[in-house]
Order: sequence, then structure tokens, then C-alpha cells
Amino acid sequence: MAGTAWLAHAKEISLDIDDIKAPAFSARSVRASLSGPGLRELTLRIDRLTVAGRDWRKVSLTCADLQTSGPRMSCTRGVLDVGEKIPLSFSYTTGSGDLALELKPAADETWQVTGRVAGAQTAIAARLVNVRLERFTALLPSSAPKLTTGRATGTIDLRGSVVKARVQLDGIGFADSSGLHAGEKIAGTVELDAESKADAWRWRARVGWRAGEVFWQPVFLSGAGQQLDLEGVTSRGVTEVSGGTLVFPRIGTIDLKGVWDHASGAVRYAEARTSAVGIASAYDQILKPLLQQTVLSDLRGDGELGFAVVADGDGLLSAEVELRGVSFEDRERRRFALFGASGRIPWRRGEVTTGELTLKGAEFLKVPLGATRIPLRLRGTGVGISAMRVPVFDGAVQLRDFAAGATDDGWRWRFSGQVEPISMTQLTQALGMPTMYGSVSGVIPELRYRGQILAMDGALVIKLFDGTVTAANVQLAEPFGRAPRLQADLEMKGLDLELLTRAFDFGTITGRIDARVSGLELSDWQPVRFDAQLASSAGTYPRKISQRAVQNISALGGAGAAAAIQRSFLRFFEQFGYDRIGLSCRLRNGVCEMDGVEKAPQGYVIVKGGGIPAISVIGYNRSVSWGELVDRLKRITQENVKPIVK
Amino acid sequence: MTGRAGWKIVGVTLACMLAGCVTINIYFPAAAAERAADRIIDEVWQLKPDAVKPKTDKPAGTP
Amino acid sequence: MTRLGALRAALLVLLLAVAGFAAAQANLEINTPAIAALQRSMQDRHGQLQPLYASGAVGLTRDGNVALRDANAVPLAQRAQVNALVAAENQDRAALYREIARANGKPEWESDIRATFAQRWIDKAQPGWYYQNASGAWVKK
Repeated sequence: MAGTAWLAHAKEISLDIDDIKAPAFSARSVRASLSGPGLRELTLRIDRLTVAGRDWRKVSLTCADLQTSGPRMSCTRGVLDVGEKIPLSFSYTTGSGDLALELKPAADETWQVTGRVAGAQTAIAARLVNVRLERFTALLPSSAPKLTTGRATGTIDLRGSVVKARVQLDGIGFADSSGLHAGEKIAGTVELDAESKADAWRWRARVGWRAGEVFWQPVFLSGAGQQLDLEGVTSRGVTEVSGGTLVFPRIGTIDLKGVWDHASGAVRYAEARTSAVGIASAYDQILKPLLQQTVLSDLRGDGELGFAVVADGDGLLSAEVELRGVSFEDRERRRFALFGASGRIPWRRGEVTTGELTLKGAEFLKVPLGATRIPLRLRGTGVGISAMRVPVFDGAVQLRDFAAGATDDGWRWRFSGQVEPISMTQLTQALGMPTMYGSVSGVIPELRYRGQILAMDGALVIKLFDGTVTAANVQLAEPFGRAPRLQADLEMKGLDLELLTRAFDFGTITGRIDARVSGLELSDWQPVRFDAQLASSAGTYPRKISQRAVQNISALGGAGAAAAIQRSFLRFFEQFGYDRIGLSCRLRNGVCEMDGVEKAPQGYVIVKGGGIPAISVIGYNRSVSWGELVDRLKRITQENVKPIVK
Repeated sequence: MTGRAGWKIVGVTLACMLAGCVTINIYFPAAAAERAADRIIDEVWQLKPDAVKPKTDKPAGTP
Repeated sequence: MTRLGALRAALLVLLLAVAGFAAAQANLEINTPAIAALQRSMQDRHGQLQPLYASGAVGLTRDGNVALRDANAVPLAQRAQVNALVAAENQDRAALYREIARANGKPEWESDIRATFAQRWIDKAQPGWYYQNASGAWVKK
């Protein structure tokens, strides 16, 4: 207080105070005066009032009927002007310190404070009815989302060193400018009990969330009876939560602990654990909104999950997850499913930990996978699996030395392994492809995923149609993207043409064939580039070609050629002999440059006749549109070739 | 002497690099890229005249 | 005088070279299965994005992406979906630019193609939609 002066006149007493300063508030140019008949008009003006860093200018309190009788002073028709004019009444008794104050900013809004202000015996009760919370917007830090609406009704009692609050909140709305942190129509209750002893506050709080919605990027939650109970001590700028629970109805209960340093704003210790969370409702209520537009956007979940997460000032200290019968299924498209996953996965900072998961089964693109045991080894962001075996139909895929880790350019993983013979018949049927006879097997020296590219070292051997197909230099870019790009070199040896043509319903060709497809490039699973050569295998074996197969091969060159056969005497023969079959295609920019076994006048020989009766098929068109060729093949095999499953 | 020759080479390389930059800029077929972009955008945003045509909403169920 | 003449000649050669290139420019290859798949995916998504462009919730960025601008116009329950839509669209757009460059055998063109698209998306945007100007500020078209 600086520079006070009393000025006494007959009709007015006024008091000028330059400044009042307290830790939480300050007031500048305070002037109080009593005037009017009997000095019953009180006017208190503050040029600038600062509370918690916010300013109000030209604040005034006027009272037209100040009454004083002995130590009691009262006013029934006061007005507080803080920009809006708020009717007010009060009474105060000096000595006893009895106080009663009532503000009525709106017809249904009341702020009532009653009690006694007398040092240690201070007891104040505040009763709030429909208090508009937006009045406090200015008091909140400007970095927080703006509180736009809300009402509070309840009581706050202050008795000596004990505080007790019971407040109902309704219609709370808040939002930041981007709309990424916002809430609407929030209703709930806040209960707080606190007691101060020495320099510590011992407190207990309960917050219930009854209704409304919150979007806090990226999480969306609606109020459905969630309840947070916390108990702790706040002392010397440190709050310690010694016990807390967060209850999500129908999902589970999470136990909480923590230590928070106010000055640095840092969490020194935090712990969250739960014995059981229901996967189905947790997915529906919490995860589903997060996973929209991803492959995990529509799952059916089942089972239970337990976890314990501990963090200190340096970050995550330990995490442990326990799964009990967890299943997920892609509800819409059934692209993948996981059944009965159980096990415990522990992780600790700076240590190597081991865990194990067991799977009752799984399904990938409608191919069922059998029961699997997955031994896990964790360290930092790295995951390792020494060996695991995934049964697929009558065979299995074995993984060895699996190692995964997070790097700057995303996830990276590698493994080696082998494929125990898997029935091609069952596999092609499950994938909805034409049934092929044979089996797939092979050794995978190393499969690597890094920088969005999946690459295989070594060769995968597929035993198909009594021959072998070898895939080498296999590389798949962006396997999980919208347009995966596959590169590979394929080599096929001694495929039985009879089995092959039967599978694709192409007529019948007896014999064996070799093929080489080098520089194969698939974009979105469709060929865009390759050099392919098809030729009869060396050796002696029966070589026959059915009339229908001849027609089909001819039809690849256009409808006219096939009709030509029909018109000639050749139509009387069921089968023909041949010497060699050969066809090559060099695909570039949607055009296939074709060639055959050898040159023919103005064309090339595709089937070179031999034996009796012999037949030769000659192609004349060297440049054929790939799309047209595929269409013709599709027409020939009569929808036996199904489009690729995406 | 050798020092001078060295500088000369550096000078020529620099010029090449500068020229190279210019060449790359010219080399990008901006007009073709723009046409390609237009075709794709028209398709994605359905801006083609026939796609903008208002649908003829016929009352359902009445013959 | 001679220096000016030389400069003029050089400019003329440069212009001719540019003109030559422009005249010789064939169309870019955009008929690949991958580009078709991306185009389909983006076209399907456009039905959901269109009202968001119109309300200003989502805008077109100067680098050929889309971005969440002001989600306040979108009901709370759908905001997570808007985020997901934006992320999915940008993923497709990145793949599209990369695929066009790759389909033409010039992976190094990716950023030029992105820049071209950025400009064309904005040019073709409907009135009322928001886009980022050269300095990154949102502008209503």
C-alpha cells in the first residue's frame, strides 16, 4: 500500500489506494468512497484488477443502500461491474467475521458465500447454482483449448484446513482452433476432499463422466459412466498420486500411480496396470475410431488383455502385456484372422527379456494357418524369434532367426527359413485360383524387409505339374501399400503339359515344357514387363495336341485362324502330333512382342508339326496388345482363370 | 602451371554442373506432366462433362 | 553490342531447345495397373472428402497433399475419421506421384510431378475450397 490520503468533507468520505499487490492478484488505483445522504452510498473503483495473470479494467462495486448498525455492515442492492453488471447483496460483521455474499448474474444463476472469516476458525460455504463456466475462460491458460460453455451446480466448503467440494457439471464444451482437441455436451460430477497439514495437502478426488463426447486427437471417447478416483498428497510443488483407479464400464479397471513435479511440468513416475481388459469392447469403444481407413478398421475382437506399464522421468521403464484367448477377425472381407492368442510379453528398458505367445490358429487370405508357438526375445525396439513353425495345410512354413527393429526409415525385419511341402491343390483352391496339382516347397536363405521393400535372397522352389518352378531375385516394394510392385525371375522345368492344360481347361496337350520369365515386373499384381520364353523340354516323351488346344492356340492370334481350321479337313482329327512348341513374349508398355520356335514366311512357328497327322501353328502378328491377349486367354479358359484376389 | 590447369578443369566442371541444372529443368516434360495430372484429377474428382451430368431421378416403383 | 548479340543468340538457342522439347513431348505414361488402382482408390474416397473440402475442414496443401485445416465444422465422432481419410489420401497421393515417375522410367521426376499436381489440384478446386498459397497460408478459393 502506498500513498494513502483521507479527505473528509461533509458529504463524502473517500479513500485512495494506489496499488494493492498480493501473490495471486493485484489492483491498481483503488478508490473507495462513501457519499450521499447519511453516507449510505458505497462506491469502490479499481482501474485495473489482475487475477492469475488476467486483467480487468474499470471494475467497480456500488451499493446504493449501505446499512451499518454497530459492527454489522450490509447491502441488499449492490451492483458489481466487471464489464457485465451483476446484482449483489452482502453483509459483514467486523469482530465476529460473519460474512454473507450473494451474486445473481442471471435469473437462474446464483453464487452464494456464507460463513465466518476469522483466522484458524474460518469456515466458508459456497453454494453454486448454474454457474456459467465460460466466465472462467479468461483465467485458463491460453494454450489450453478454449472453454466455450458449461454450467456448474454444487457446494464448496472450506472449514479450517479442510476443503470439501461436490459439484455437478453440465453441458461443458471446449475446443481449440484446429478442432483437434474438443469436447461437447459433457456432463459429470467432481468430488474433492482435501486437508492441509503442515505444508502438505492430502486429498482425494473422484471424477465421474456421465455423458458427452471428447475428441482428443486421435482418440474419440463418449461419456458412459467412466470414473476416475485419485488419492494423493501435494507438497512443495510435487503431487504424488498414491492410489488411483480408472473404470471403463464394460471394458475394465486400470490402476494408476504417479508423481508429478509442478515446476518442470514433468512426470517423474507413472504406473498403469490392469489385470483384465475386455478386448471386444475395448476395440469397439477406444481402438476402432483410431483405426479407421486402415486394414484394422472393422475387426471382431474377443478375449482378455492384461498390462502393466511403468515410466519414469526418462521414459518407459517397463511394460508387460498378457494375452488370454485373444482373437481378431477381419469382419467384412475376411482377409485375415487370429485365433486364441495367449501368452506374456515382458519388456524392460536396457535389458533383454523373453516371452512367449501361442496361437491356436490363424487365417490369411482364406488360407488357414495351424497352431503356432512364438518364442519372443525383446531388447529396446528390437524383437527376435529364434525359430517358429506355422502349419499350412499338410505342410508348414518354418522361420528361423527372425529379427525386427524400428529404424529411421520405418520398420525393418528379416528371417530365414524353409517351406515344408504344402499341397498346391489345397492352396490354389483356398485362394480361389484354378486347381493346380503339385506342391510348393523351398529354402529361404533370407527374406528382408527394409525401407518398404521386401526382398528374398536365394530361390524358392515350387513343385508344380510334375515339374519345378524356381523363383529367384524376388523383390516386393511397398507390400502393404496400395500398389505393391513385384519383381522376380522365374524358371520352370519339365512341366507336364497334360496336367497344366487340364487345370486351365485349354484342351489337351501331351508333353513337357520349360519356361523362363526373366525381369518379371508386376504392378498391383498385374504384369507390366517381362521377357518370357516357352519351349518344349528336351528328351523323348509322347507329343500330342488335341484339336481343341490347337484351336485355342490359334484363337490367341484372333478369331479368324480358329475358324480356318474348322473349315478345313483338319476338323476330322481329334489329335495331332507335334515336334516342338515354343512361344516368347517380350512385354513392354502394354505390348507383347511375340516370337515362336522358328521363323516362318511372314511370321513365326508356334507349334511345329511332326508325326501323323501333323499340324503346325504359325503366328503372323508380332506385336499384340497384352490386354487383348489376356482377354482372349480368359475367353478361352472360360472364366477358369479368376481375377486376382485383392 | 599445374595449379592453373586444375582451376580450368574446375571451371569447366562448374559450368557443366550449371548447365546440367538447366538441362534437368528443361528436360522435365512440364506440359505433358500437366496433361497427365489433368487427366488423373478429372477422373478422381469426376470433373469430366459426362460425369457432371445430373442424374435422372425417376420415381421408383411406378411403371 | 557483341556481348548483347551473343546473349540474344544464346537465349534464342535455349528457347528453341525448350520449344523443341515441348513439341517433342509425348504424353506421360499413366496407364499402368498401379496408377489405375490408386486412381480408383482416390476416386472412391473423394465422395467422403468432397463435403470436407466444401466445409473447409480439409484443404489442399501447396505440396500436393491434403491437410486437416479446421475440424470444428465436423461432428466430434467423425473427426478421427477425417484424420484417417487425410492420412489415407496422402498415402495414395505419394504413391501416385512415385508411380507416375517410375512408370516413365524416371524416378527422379517424382518431386516435379508432385509440384505439377499440387498446382493442378488447386487450379481445379471448386470455389469455396481452401488451399495453401506459396507462403503456406490458407486461402479460400
